Amino acid sequence: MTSEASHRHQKRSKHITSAPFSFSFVQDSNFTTTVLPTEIITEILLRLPVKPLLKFRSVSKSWLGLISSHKFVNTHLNISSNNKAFHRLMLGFGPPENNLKECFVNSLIYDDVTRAIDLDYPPKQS
Amino acid sequence: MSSSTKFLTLKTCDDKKFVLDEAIAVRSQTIKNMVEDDCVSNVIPLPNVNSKTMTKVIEYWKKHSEEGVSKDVLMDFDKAFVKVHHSILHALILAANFLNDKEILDMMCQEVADRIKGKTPEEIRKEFDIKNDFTPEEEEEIRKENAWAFE
Repeated sequence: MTSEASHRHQKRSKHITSAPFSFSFVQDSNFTTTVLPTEIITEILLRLPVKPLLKFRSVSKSWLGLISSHKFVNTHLNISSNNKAFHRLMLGFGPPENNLKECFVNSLIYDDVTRAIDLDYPPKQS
Repeated sequence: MSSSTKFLTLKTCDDKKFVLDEAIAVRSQTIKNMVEDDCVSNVIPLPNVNSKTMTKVIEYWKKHSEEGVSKDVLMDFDKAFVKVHHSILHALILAANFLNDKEILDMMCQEVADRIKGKTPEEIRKEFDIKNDFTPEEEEEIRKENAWAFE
């Protein structure tokens, strides 16, 4: 676990133990659905990339408020920029035109085969 | 801490009892605090956790407390561990939250995040039992703001 993550969790756990949130159980025909408290939803959403987050703004008013809040945005930015799994490397082979590739640093180090994506640079004129 | 093995009895909300090595049970920060503060008598009640969920948690604790288990084996174990119905995932998250086990909580939150990434807002509402409190106009307005995210 990264130090940032554990630090974040220390802060969070303190918050949770004192939080007055309660959760309820909703009976379904086959199983019990549990309603997750807001701080858990926050923990889950913080782990999402930006695109699904924007999409989930229309789930409900409380999700919209949560995802749009300054605190959430800042925490999300902090986590993403510290998350080495998302660090990417741009590679150029030979002449730059049509030969720029991008890959995940993580994949370069740990995977047997690294997948590189061709970058459309310079952008083609349409 | 004494070297002899001490056992703790955990009682879930459905009155099932689990006898567990204290060294394993203190993976839960909540239980650890209770042990350290000396407020453990005979049975530790876990009013927010049912026996089905607790069985899963203990399975995880035991595997991760085994000696000489390779990282690869644990990774495979974790991968299989999170492959459960979302209702069980949610129950495990609540249990891990109550027990204050950051390792399980972290892993489960990540699993939920991975699962919901590609879903639509409607599917999310169903999975999390959320009521759509937007008017159709309001919803359309938000969708328009970030239309590219819906592609």
